[in-house]
Amino acid sequence: MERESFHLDFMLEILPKLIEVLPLTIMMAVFAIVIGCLWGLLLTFCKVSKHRKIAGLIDGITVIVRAVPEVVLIYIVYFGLPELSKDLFGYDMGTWEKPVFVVLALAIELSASSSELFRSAYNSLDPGQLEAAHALGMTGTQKFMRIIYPQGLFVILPNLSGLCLGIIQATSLAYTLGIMDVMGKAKVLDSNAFSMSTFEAYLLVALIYWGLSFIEGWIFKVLEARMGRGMRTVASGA
Amino acid sequence: MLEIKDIKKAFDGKEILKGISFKVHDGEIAALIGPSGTGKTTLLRCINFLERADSGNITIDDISVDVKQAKKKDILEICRHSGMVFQSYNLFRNKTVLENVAEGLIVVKKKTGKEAEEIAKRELDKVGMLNHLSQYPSQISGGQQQRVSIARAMAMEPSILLMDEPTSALDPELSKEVLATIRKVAEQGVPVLIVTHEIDFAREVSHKVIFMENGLVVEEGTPREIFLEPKEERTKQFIAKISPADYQI
Ligand SMILES: Nc1ncnc2c1ncn2[C@@H]1O[C@H](COP(=O)(O)OP(=O)(O)OP(=O)(O)O)[C@@H](O)[C@H]1O
Ligand SMILES: [Mg+2]
Repeated sequence: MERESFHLDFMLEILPKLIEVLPLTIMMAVFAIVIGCLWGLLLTFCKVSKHRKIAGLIDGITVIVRAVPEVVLIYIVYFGLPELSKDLFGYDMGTWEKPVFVVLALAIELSASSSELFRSAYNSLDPGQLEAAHALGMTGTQKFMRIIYPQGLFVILPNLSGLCLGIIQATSLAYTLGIMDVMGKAKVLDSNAFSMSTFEAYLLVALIYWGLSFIEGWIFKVLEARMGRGMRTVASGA
Repeated sequence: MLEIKDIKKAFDGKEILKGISFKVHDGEIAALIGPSGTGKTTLLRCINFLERADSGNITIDDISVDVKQAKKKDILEICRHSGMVFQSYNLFRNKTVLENVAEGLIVVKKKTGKEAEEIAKRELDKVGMLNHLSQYPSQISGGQQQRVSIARAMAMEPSILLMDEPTSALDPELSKEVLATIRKVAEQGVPVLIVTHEIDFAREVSHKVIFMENGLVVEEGTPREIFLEPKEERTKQFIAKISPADYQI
């Protein structure tokens, strides 16, 4: 059938239905980002540890993980993890919801890439300030919370923002497991409408993701403004 | 009071400190002098465990630690009873002048924000930095940064203040203002161990001069004894080399 016009009415019709499943997309993204960053941090601790063997092993694993496309990683985790868990621990993951596997896969992906970022932040730290903190009598945790984390995070915020955006976008791959997130829902709504407004359906999906990335960008801008105290002038010389 | 006994430290099998012992009494300013590469910095860093000595004993007031057996807890205790002023100031660059001084008070000494601010302001006043409270380290001069770092160390009420060439990164004008600050600090009675190449300063301010060479203390005594009547040949040579012509013997 020939296209005659732009189906704005169709977009308006499916918008509420996509908004309805938007929380799922957001939840997957938020959990993947939080878990991924925490794992990434753990990996970084291993990478900078004095145990050369552990550091090397973790390095190797992250290189391998980063080489795997996200969609493949999702499949591997979804089909492989339950098997592995059954064989190794006798634990049945059969009751786990599909989005959990997407979250795990994306968290693994993010942990690998963010651990590299965290490492570069760690290396960029000024050892003198850590020595000053030591001399004041701060414990390791205090040094981390007061010096390493705020200064290190500031340095990598722009890059971290990019990684998180990538994870948000990658949640759209959840449809490949038949999950009814924004993307999956749009696909179904489109075929229910006999694919007469495919362009409009995905344009709407694009707009929704644009909105998400706008919000994400804004959050990072706020973080950067808050953490940048005293740091900017240093970064640009001095 | 600081007492170190038989501190030894090797890097990669090369012995840098070969058994250093001395005492800095309460109210005493001790200047540690010696040629470059002698291990002065290493010694200072061993005292607060920035570097771990291989053996020896460190005593600060009633805390005594055998370096070999020192646990995390002991190291924290030593750090909390000593203060350090670094050659390159090492201020926290994401914190204002006031926050730099308040940081240790809040995090380590668990003072409330208000108490910490009060103490910090008092210490900053003593170093003449009360007008720069909300500036960041990158916005003030090197000399001002060093004065803040002195206030940061003093705010913790250390039982010994360690200083490693606190003025050597500064040009003469700024160096002067920092030296004046250190004099003022010294008048408050906190014992100070200062590594310095400022012979005038050591002569005028210190009560005791310790001359170190090749990982050993060659000679220690009053400034007069060391600068004007050194007993050891090595000391004589070193003093002759570093002294301006009018102090030569
Ligand atoms: N972390 C380290 N690893 C290996 N060698 C070191 C280390 N720190 C210091 N050294 C060596 O120890 C020796 C003493 O150095 P140190 O910095 O203590 O001398 P210094 O007396 O402070 O000299 P300067 O007057 O130039 O500051 C030097 O030969 C130095 O190369
Ligand atoms: Mg030195």
